[in-house]
Amino acid sequence: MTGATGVTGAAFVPMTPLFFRHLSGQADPVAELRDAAVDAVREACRGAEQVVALCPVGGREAPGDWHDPSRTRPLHGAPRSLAEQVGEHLLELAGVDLPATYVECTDGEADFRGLLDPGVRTALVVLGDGAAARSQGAPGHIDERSFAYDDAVAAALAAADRNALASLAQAPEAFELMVTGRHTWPVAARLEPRLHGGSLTHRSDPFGLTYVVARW
Amino acid sequence: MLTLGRHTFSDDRLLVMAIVNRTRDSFYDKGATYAEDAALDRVRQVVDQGAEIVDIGGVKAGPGDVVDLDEELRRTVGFVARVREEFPDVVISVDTWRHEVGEAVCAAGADLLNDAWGGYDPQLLEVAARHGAAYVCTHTNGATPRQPPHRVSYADVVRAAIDDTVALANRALAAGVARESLLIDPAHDFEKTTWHSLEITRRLDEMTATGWPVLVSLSNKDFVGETLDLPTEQRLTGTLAATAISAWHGARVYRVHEVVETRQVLDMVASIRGIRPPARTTRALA
Repeated sequence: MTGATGVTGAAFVPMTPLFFRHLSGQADPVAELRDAAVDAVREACRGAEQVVALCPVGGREAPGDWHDPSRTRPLHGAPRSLAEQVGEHLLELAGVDLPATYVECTDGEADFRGLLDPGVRTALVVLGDGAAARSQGAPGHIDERSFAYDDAVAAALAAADRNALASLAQAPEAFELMVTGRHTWPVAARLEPRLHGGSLTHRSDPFGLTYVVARW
Repeated sequence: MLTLGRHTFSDDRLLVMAIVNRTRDSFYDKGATYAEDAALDRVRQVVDQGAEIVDIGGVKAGPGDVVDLDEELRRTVGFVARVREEFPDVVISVDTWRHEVGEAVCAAGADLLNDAWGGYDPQLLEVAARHGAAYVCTHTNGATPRQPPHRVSYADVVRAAIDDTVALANRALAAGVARESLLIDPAHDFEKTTWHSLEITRRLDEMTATGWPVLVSLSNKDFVGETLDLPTEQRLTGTLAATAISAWHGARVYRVHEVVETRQVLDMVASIRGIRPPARTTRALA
């Protein structure tokens, strides 16, 4: 991508707070997922001059103000979304030391194209998860529609099919299945079609909530 | 850092010391591990359950069978050697007041001398110093070994326990025991009424505030039984309640009969205090 301008790479990554290693205690149930997400972020940022992170905000699944529950003293300060904190952490883990802008996205409405200087190579980090209703213990319990929905999302990400991804994000069940990607995927899909080809590098649902990692 | 003979532990570790009695008449096990092989089986069990320390005793604390020096040596020394050989990684403590026993068990591999009668034999701490062993400074208010308490009185039992144990620790330090190898023990029930033991528990934070690591020996004792009006074999829940309070106040070592239950309580309290990460937390974090 060296020499190209505009958006030169995108990483689609989950926004689970379990990416913060200490939060799961002595166990690390998402080690493999974290590695995949960090790899995707690192690859997307290779050769870039800046990072734009698209951060879902809306609903209890994507809180706009999130506080680390393991802290021992109350913290006070400006609200920060869970997704922004996870995105920042993934960039740190990936060793990416570039100027980063965090854009709050709700229901796919954000328009960040004003942030994109066509003369600046920009990496996109797109936070968001799939359906959260795939098991009895899942945040949204069981909703059988989750399975077909997540399969379609995985296929769209693997094929870098922006129209399919935007359409899935805006389908009514995306809200009902607590899909946090519904906030950010349409925003990413409105990019000028500079990116070609996609690869899905990880998919899992250890807690009844689908995590997907992809690169465009 | 706590150094117990060959072993060191960071300051945030709460340690379980499992009781292994080579006695016929101890109040709780009533001779169950008097035979050497039975005692060794008990060591295997408690080590498997996660005890870091075994506390081997040859003499019942209270009145009972006469155990002279030769008999105490017979019960402890060879057994310490067997445990040392089979379990190089476990801390071996011996509960004794006699310096001759201390000398022999240290030579056989003991790491810690649990002087449950609070310096009654002043040469015992010199033995600890000479062998590089750790030493427990116990508050017994000057009692004679195995003497049951009667009409004991303190102006302030917590102050007395702190003053006496810290003074003994300083004597041990002067004799050459390493600072990081000294513990203090308020000794629940020893020269105390149940009221005293309850107050010691309630105010244990004053004892931990001295900076000396605190050992507590609460397990199934009479202060639990009298508080709940329960016989010996029904005191576990009360023991664990006192264990939790002691852990909250910062005690470091717990001398116990029941290892598994104690470990769960200590882990739980340590996580509440914020000094131990929970085992696996994913609730509401997916």
